[in-house]
Amino acid sequence: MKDKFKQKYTSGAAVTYMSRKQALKKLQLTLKDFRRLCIIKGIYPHEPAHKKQANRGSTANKVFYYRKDINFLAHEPIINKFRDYKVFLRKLNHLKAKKEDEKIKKLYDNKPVYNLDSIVKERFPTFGSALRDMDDALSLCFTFAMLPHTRVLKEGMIDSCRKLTAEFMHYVIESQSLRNTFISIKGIYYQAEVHGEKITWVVPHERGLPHVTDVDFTVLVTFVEFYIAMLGFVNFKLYQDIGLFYPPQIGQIVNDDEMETEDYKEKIYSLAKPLAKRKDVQPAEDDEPLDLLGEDSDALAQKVREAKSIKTMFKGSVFYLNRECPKEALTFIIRNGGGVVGWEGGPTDLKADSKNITHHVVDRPMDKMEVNRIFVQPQWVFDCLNARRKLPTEKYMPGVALPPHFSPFTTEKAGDYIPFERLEELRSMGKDVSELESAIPKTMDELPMRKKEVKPEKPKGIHIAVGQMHKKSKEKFHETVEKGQELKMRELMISKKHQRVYHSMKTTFKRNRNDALKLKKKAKLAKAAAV
Amino acid sequence: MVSGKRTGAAKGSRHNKKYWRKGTDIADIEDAIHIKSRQAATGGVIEDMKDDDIFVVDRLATSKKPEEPSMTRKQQAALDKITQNITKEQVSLPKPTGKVIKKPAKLPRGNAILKNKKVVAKKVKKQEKFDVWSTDLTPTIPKEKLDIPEAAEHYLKIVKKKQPKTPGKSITTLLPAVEIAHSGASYNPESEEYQKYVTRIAGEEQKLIDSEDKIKRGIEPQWEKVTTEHERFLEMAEGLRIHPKFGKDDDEEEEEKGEEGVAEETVKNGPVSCERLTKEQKKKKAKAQGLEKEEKKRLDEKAREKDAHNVYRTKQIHKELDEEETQRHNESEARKQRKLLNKLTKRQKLGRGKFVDAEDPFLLEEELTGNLRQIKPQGHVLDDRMKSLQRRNMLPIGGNKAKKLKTSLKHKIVEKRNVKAVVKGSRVI
Repeated sequence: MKDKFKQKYTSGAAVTYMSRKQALKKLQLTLKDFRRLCIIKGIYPHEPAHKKQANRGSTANKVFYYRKDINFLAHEPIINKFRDYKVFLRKLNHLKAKKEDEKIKKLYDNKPVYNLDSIVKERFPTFGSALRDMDDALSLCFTFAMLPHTRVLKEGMIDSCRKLTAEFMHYVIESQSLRNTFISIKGIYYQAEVHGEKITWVVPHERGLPHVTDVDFTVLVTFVEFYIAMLGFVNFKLYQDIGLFYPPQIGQIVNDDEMETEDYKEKIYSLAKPLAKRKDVQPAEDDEPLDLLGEDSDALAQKVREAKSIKTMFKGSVFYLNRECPKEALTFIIRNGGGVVGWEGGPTDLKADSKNITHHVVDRPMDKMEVNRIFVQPQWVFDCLNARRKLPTEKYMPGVALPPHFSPFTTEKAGDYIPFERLEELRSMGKDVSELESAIPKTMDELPMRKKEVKPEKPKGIHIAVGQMHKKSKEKFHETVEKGQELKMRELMISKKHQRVYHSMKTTFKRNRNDALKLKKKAKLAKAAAV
Repeated sequence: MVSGKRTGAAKGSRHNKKYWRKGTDIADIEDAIHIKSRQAATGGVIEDMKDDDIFVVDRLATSKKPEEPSMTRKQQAALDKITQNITKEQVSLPKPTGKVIKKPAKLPRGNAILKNKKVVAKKVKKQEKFDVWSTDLTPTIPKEKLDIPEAAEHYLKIVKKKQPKTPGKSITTLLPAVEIAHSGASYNPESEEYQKYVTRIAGEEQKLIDSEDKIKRGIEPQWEKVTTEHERFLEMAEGLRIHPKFGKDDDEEEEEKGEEGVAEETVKNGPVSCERLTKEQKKKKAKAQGLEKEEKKRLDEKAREKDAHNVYRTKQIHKELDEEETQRHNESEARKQRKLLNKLTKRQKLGRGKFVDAEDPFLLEEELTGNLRQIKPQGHVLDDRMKSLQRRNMLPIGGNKAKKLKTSLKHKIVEKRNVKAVVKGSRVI
C-alpha cells in the first residue's frame, strides 16, 4: 500500500501563526490602518514557538500574529470605516482641487466616524478588568494632557485627556482613595486604591516637557484614542457608584452650555472645589466596624486603619498655597485627606492674610512669618500621605534643609540596611519593625562588652595553693562551638552539586551583611560630624 | 453721385474722358458752395470777418478765482480716502479674476426651495455617556421585521453587525504597566540610596565605555611594524657580495641559512613498506580473530540469558519504567512552566529591530537642589511608556531591512563620445 504523504506547512506553527504581510493582504488594509486596528482591538504580535516552521523555512525576523486573531479582526466593522475614511480623503482632495467650498463643507459634515463603545466592552467584559488596565491609560492621558498640540496630536484629543484626567482625580478626591505618592526626578507617582484594585500612575512635572524625537507619536495617539473612550466609561461608572453627577458639577446644577465655557472648565480642572452630589443617592456609611477588628495586627485591620487615618488626616485644616507651589499635586493630596485648599486668584479665592488659614505651603525662604499659622514646605504634604498621619512640621519649615523623601513603594527586607529616618517613619505608620531592626547587623561598639575577669593577684614567694579541679574548657565545649562544628560537618555532607549554590548563598549573605555594616558605620560618622 | 458706389460711366475705366465728366465726385465742392452762400445771406462770411466782430472781450469779474490748494496731493488723497470710507459702505475687495471660474448657480428645481428652508445648522451631537457594563450592546432586529431568530442572527453576522465570539485572550505579560522609579531617583533622596542608584548607572555606563574601547582596540593595529635602518640596508643590498669587513652579522645569518638548507635536504619521504606477513604472524592473527569471535558469542549468550531472566524481574522493570516516566513527566512540566514564565516576563523577538531600554535618569549631586521649586526634571514619561509597551510585548520593534550585497553586476552599455563621432562615411585616419 502506498503511503499518503502529508504536505509540508499544513499544520502546527505554520498555520497557527501569520506574518504581518500576510495579514495585511488578507484584511486588505494598509500598514498604518492595520497598526491602528491592532492597537484598538488589543491584538498583539507573538513570537512563534517554531520560527522556522512558521516562516516556511526562513529564519528572518518577522512580526507574527495568531491566525485566529487575524480571522477575528476580519469581522470588525471598523475596517469598513477605515475604508470609508480613505474614500473621504480622496473626495476631499478632489473637491479641494476644484475649489468647491459648498461640497467640501457638506463632505466634512458627513465625515465617517467610528464608535469604540462596543470595543471597550469587548476588551473589558467586566468593570474590574477595565480597572486593572487603568495604569497605562492614566499615565498616557496625564502626559498627553500636558503636551502642545501638533499635526498628529489634535487639540480635541489633548482637551479630552485633560478633561478625563481631571475627572478621575475628582473621583479619587471624593472617594478619598489615594494611598501613596512619590516624587521622582521623572515625575510624580501616585497610587490609589479603587474598588480594591491598586492603580498606579505617573504624572510628569509641570516644568514643560522636553521634546522627544525617538517616539512614534502615531502609535501612542492610537493608544490614547482608545484609552479616552475607555476612561470615559470608567469615569462614568465610578461617578455613578459614589453618587456624583457625570459630567462633574460644582455647586449648583448648571446646564450644558455653561459647562462648555472656559471659566467653568478651569474651575473643575483646579480640583479646589468639591463636586455636587446627587440627592437621590444615600451617602455610603463610612463607619466600618473597626471595633470588631480590634487591635490585632491583622493585615485587613491594618489596611482599614490606614485608610481611615488618610481620610481624616487634614480634616479641619485650611491650606494656603504660595504661588510657586505645584498646585495640582498639592490640592489633590490635601483634598484627599479632607483638607480645604485655596490660593490667590483660585476658585476659592483665599487671600494670603485670611484669618482661618492653618497651614501655609511655601517653597522659598521666607523672612516674614505670621504667628497663627504653620508654615511648611510642599514635601511635608507628600510625606504626610505616605506616613498616614500629620508629621511634625519642624523639619519642614521654610528655608530648612528637608529630610530625605523616601519611596513608599519599596518594601524593606530583613537584613538590608535601613536608614534611621525610614525606620522611624515605618514605626510611625504602625508597622512592626522589630524584625527589621533586629536583622540589622551590629557594629563592634554596639555589641555587649565582655567583662574582663579580675584575676586575683598571686602571692609572692613560696606558698600553698588550693588545688584546682580540672574544668572542661568553656570555649571549646560551648554550645555554639558544638553547633558550629555540627554545621561544618553537615556542610561537608552536602553533595557536590549543591555545594556551589550553598557557597554562593553564603557569600551573598556575608556581602549583604558587610555592606549594611559599612553603611551603618558611615551614617554614624556622618551624624557625629554633623553634631 | 455718392462716393463709394459707382454707377454708370463711373463704373468704367478711369483713363478715359468719359470718366472725368461723369465719375468725379463733386459733392464736397457743392457743399462748400452751399455753406458759403448761406453765410453770405445770413450775416457775412465768417472767414472774412475780423476777430473783434466775432468775439467780445469780457472785462467784468463774474466768477471767483479757483483757490490755491492748501494741502499737498498726498494729504488730499488721504482725506479723500477717509471721507470716502466714512460715507461709503464697506465693500470687500473684488475677488481676483483670472483662473477662478465660478459655475453659474443652479436654479432650484421642484420643491428644492422648500427643502432649503428646512435646513438648519447641523448641531454637533454630543455623545452621552452610559454604563457600558450594564447595557446590552448586541444589535437586534425588531420582531416585526424578521421573526425568525436564526435568520436574524445570520443576517446580523453577514452584515458584520454582530461579531463572532472573541478568541481567548492570552495574557501578554506579568510585568507591571508602570514601573516605579528606584528610591534613589527621588527628588530629595537619602544619600545611601542615591549612592547605590548612581553607582549602578555608572557601572552600566562603564560597561558601555569598555565595550566601545574594545572595538577601538580591535580596529587599530596592535604592534606597528617599524623597519629599522639596518633592515632597510640589508634589503637594498640583497644579492650583493659584501666584504666581510662591513657585514659581520650577515655572515652569521648566511651560515644559519646554510645549516637550514642542509637540514632540509636530509628530509625525505618515508620508505614504502611492502612486507608480507610471515606464516607465524598469519597464524597469530587467525588465532586472535577466533578468540574475538568466541568472546562475542559468549557475550551474546550472556545477554540472551539475562533477557530470559528478565521474565522473573518484570516487577522490578515495571517499577523502573514507572520511575522513569514520572521523572520525564516532571521534567517536561518544569520545562513548560519555565517556558511560560519566560514568555510572560521576558521580551520576545518581535520584528527586525533590537530592543534598547531607556536609560535611567539621574541628577548629579550638585544638581539635587532638595526643593520642589528648583527641581530639574529628567527623562521623558512618553519615552518610558513606549519602552514599557515594547518590553511587555505589545508593540513590534521595527528595524531596517538588511541590505543585500549584489553578487552579480549588471552589464551596462555606454556609448563613448569618440565612438559617436564615427558616422557612416568617416575615414580611418
